[in-house]
Amino acid sequence: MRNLLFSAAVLLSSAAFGQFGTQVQVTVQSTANSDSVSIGPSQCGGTSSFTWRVTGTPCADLSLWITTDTDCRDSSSAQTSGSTRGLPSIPLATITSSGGGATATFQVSNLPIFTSSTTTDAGTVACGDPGVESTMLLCGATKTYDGLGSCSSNVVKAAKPLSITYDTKSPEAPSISEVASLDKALRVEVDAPEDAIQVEVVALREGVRVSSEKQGVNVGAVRVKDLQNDVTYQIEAYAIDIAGNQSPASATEEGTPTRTYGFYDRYRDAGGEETGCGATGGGFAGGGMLAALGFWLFSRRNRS
Amino acid sequence: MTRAVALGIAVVLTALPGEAQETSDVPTQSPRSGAVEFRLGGYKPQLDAEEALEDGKRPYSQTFGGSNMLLFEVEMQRFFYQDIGTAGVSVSLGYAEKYAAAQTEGGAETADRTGLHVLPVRVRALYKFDYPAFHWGIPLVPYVKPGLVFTPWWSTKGGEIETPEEGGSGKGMRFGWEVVGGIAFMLDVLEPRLARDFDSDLGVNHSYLFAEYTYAKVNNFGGKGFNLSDSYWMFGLALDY
Repeated sequence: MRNLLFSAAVLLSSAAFGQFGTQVQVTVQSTANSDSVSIGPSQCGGTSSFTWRVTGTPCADLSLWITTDTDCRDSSSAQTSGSTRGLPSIPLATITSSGGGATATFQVSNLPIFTSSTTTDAGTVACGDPGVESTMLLCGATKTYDGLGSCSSNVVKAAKPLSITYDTKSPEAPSISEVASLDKALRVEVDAPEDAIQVEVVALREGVRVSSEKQGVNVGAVRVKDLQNDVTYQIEAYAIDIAGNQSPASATEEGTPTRTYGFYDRYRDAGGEETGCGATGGGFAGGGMLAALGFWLFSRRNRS
Repeated sequence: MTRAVALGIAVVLTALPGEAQETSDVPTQSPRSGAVEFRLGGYKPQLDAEEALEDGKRPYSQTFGGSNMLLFEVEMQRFFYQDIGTAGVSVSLGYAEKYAAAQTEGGAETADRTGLHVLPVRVRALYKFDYPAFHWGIPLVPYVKPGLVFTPWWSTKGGEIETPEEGGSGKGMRFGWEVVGGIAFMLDVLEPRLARDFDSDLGVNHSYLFAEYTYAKVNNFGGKGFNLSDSYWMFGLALDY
């Protein structure tokens, strides 16, 4: 009898575990699937997106909130320090109908570091104020079933909250180390600060922007095109960080594009009669035909 | 004693077929239907030889210093005749480029880079006199490959196709003809067992190192414009399959 009762208890508990005991996991990430996102002042009037995902079988809505606290606790009200702003929860039905994950947004101007007229727990700066660099956490939590199949008080949090960095601090101004003359262009070597991800080089003529070129750092010199030969341009460079903040201008340098002679320039200048043609496409077509012939040769071999 | 002799004779007779089988040198080869070749060589188009160029002006040499381009080619061959030698057709695709600093009008180097690129495409007939190699064990195979060439080319400055102020576009194509003569050394003689394994495992019947001399006239059959002709040596590896 005792054995029978024991067996029944084991069977019942394993069935309950099968139904409710699937481990619940919560994930909040950027839309690029990273654990951090950077936001700049240009986004103040808009929203920023993130993705949430819940695996397993939760039994409660997914609560979301952003805090300036150093870690995520079980709920927004449980955060012990800093400012916190709640986000709309994801209903349980939505978690189920969305297949356990989707993209959501939050208002950038509603981040907890900013002053607010609607909450008392407000920050001290306004969205767009310069010189701010602050990191917040986007937290997510839900609940899971206990072994008896009832929605327990066990809270499951996102193991890694999404780190949100609001940054309006401009990078340091870059410096221009060299300006070289090209044909109707200038090649500008820029030394960018460490936090820059892009540099923009601007060519000005008597203070008026004539041409500019933006490119990533560490990919070589910047080629500023669409200039006139034998005209002197003032060159300025700017560094841009991941949040889109632009540095002050570098010290101004000068450069003068000059006509250069490439091989074909030199050939034509020497009286060569080859005028070229748009037949390179035809050449590639011919190459394609030959490739087809080669394929045919090989395919014949494979059948033999 | 008689029994022992009988036993000895029986053993010898039994061993004979095995020995005959072991020492048989009749090769078991997979069918041989074509070849693939990889080759490298120095190619210097005769661009400075164009009659229309002004006296003393040699744009290729003045820009690139007169050195060769390094030409790499891949050729696929298909054999249609295999008896007293081997005959067939082939197609090949090559690529070569040359870069140098663009210059000022006076010839001084600038920060701009200029480049010349060629992509020769060839269709050839071929004949290899490989009868002595296969039947007499002489591992040298002379061959000849006459054919047609068309060569797309393009010239760049600052990473873009050149468009000179004098007019014209820095890209085009030239046609021509060529004759190639060469000699290949059959590597099988160095490691016959390895060569047989190469065939049984990968279907490569024979492998060769070769040197060949190309005489190419690539000037649109005497038309005006670029002269991409040259005579040059190339060296490479050939694999019969």
